[in-house]
Amino acid sequence: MKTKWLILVAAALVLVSGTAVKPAIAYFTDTISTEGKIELKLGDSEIPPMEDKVENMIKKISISNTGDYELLVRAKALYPDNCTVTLVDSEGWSDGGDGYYYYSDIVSPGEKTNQLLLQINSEAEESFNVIIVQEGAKVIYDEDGSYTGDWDAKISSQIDEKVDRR
Amino acid sequence: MKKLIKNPLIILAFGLIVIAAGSVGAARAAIVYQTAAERVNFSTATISVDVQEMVGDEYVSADDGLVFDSVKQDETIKIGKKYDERVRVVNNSNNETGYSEYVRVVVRKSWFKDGKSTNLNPELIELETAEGWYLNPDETTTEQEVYYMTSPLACGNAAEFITGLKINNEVTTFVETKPAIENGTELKGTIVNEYLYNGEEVYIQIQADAVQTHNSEDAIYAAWGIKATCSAPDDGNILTIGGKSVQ
Repeated sequence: MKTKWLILVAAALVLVSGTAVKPAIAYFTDTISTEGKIELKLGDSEIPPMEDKVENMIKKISISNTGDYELLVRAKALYPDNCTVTLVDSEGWSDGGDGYYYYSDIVSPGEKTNQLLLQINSEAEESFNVIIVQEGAKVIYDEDGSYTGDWDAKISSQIDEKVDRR
Repeated sequence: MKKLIKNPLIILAFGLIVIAAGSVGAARAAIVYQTAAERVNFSTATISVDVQEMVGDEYVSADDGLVFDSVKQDETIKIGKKYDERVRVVNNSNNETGYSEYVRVVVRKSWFKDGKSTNLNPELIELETAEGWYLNPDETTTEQEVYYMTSPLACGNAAEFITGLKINNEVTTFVETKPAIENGTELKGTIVNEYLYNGEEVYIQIQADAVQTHNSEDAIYAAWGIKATCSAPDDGNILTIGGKSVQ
């Protein structure tokens, strides 16, 4: 019976002293939190059928970007064996040496390229077809802000036009 | 007296009276006159930490959120470009106390569109951090990174934390190609690439925690729940976090 009372006394003392000690074990702390969001607009990349016409055996092509994101564009011509196609002085365009003609500047949404002028020479007596393939690639930036085209994920379309020598 | 000790309820009541008396003691202070020389002023010791972001040419507190000023120089965030996004932490504790503090920063990243997009990869949001921060691999996931500043941040001082932001080029590889459709009919010769990450928002949350540098190891463990060893009991450099060297 005496032991029971002693345990109760001890428990009461522990309770009282425990309450008093609690504030002494706190450490100084602080915390702050902030957040932010930025929207990523990759959008759709679209190049509609190109503007294309032939005058005096010079094919004039212009490519538009009707998508939502910046593009780099290129084009190539497919033509019969008895025919040659050469690049005529076209501002912004250059022969890449891989069958494609590359436009040097980024084509922003809503913009179009300068005209690509291709001189068509052929010995053929009759009309023949020249197919122009246009391709666009989303612009990808390096860490320093320089850019290149993501040609692995290119979009393309083509137009097939009859060239009549008569 | 023996009777009193034997009754635990009396001891308990006595203890409660002592505690209650201690808490109301301040209210019983009498108005006394004293000269300035006799008076001693006490200020409550506090520590404080702030997160600041570079906006224009100066750092401003990010209390109201991050504005990503460097990204806003462009119309839209450009994929793959590293932006000069700068965030720092500041020990803005009371100058009179002059306490140093240990700081850790928890960074949470995710894609957000009508709620968190859990199917997209937060690792494609890349943040570059300054020197002097230890990324604890044990607390790091694809969505969360926990950094510890390995030296105490002195009162009034600032430490660079984020020095760059980049969206990995890989976001452009998640593409679904479809024929273009206008007014219900397919447009011949035109295709449309739909990007999985298009319209998603880059969400970044930065939480800075500070704790006192006195009794350092116990303070870090009590505040952050992680075992650390320090080079000195007070104001030392952090040597290990979770048993791993931070060097």
